[in-house]
Amino acid sequence: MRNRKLLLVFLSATTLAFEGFSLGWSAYTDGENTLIEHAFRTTFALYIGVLVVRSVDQCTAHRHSESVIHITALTFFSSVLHFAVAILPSPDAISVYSIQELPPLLALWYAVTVSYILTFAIIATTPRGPPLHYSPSFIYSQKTIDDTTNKAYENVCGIPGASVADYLWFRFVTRVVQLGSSDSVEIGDLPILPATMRATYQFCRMRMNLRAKPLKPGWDLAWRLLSLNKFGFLVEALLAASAAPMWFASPFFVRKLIAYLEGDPDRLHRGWGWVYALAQFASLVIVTQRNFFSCNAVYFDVHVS
Amino acid sequence: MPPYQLLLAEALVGATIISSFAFVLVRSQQQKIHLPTVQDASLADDVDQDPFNVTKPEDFIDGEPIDEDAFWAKVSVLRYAHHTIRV
Repeated sequence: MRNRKLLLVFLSATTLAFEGFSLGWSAYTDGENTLIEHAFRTTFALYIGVLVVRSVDQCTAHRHSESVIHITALTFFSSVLHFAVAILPSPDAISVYSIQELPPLLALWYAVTVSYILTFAIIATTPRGPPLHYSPSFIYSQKTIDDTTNKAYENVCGIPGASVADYLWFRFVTRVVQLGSSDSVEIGDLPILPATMRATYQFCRMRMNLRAKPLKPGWDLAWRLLSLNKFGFLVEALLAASAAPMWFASPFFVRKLIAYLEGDPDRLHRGWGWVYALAQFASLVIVTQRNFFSCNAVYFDVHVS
Repeated sequence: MPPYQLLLAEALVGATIISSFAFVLVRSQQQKIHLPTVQDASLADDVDQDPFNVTKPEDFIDGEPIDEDAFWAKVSVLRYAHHTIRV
């Protein structure tokens, strides 16, 4: 963790330095053509740097995890865009790099791309909080505790402290899956759920809400379910809308790739070939990762109160 | 230079704006939580009466952090790194 965050601060500082240098260079040599884009990029690098430096002082799981999620999302977006732009062939087919472009700027651009990808790889695997222990005596009877065969001290389900990558790929269920191969499974062997998923917590919240605002049957109930889950519904709709075209994207890119292979037998312009191959791969990954939706299913269950 | 540089830069600034907006939104939501200043008498009575009220204060915590100090101490070392870079 220490080396991880050290590296993050170093990377974001390097990115910012590169961007600042590019900005100064373009302002000095080129004038206003590329000045605005360099200013925009420097703003972004500065924002990432501020977030990283701010996260250094955060010693609560809540604040730390908020920063981690923001930095992960931003660097993922930036890495994907940089990568896509880097492999896209230039529309003016005469020369990929015109004479005006200066080699240092190009090298800096690729260095920034690499540093964004590295930053993303580090921050996406950073844990969002320390491992947790919940005393089993709070929820289980003494007999259940005695029957437990798994005596690991870290007994809470890993969702609160899981890194972003672990969360999206459901690494925290590994412990439950491993139970399947053990000799005997007792109730106490299962990881303990975090507070927001416990029935008693949900019951208490629902009770408080119903006391505060008594429920009228009919449309009132439907309206309240909708308004409480509006964020969940919105995310679900957006994910569905973005994943639906991917079913057709994969065959589309295969067709494009075959057309390219037939049309360019000497492999003179490999750029588009790479673009189609990688786009096909990306759309396949998105289609197979539809389990993102079950993340939302958890969210819905928790917010019906 | 690879193509579409201006579009890329605009998208990055857009992401910056969305992210900072999300920070502000979360902060403004949090400020709406008020501590109760008057005791609700009905709540206090119901604790004994309601047989379904099995919720205990322990149910509201995820768990005790294991080696919390060690976990965050690793992070706090960063302050020195941060200061050295700044200097």
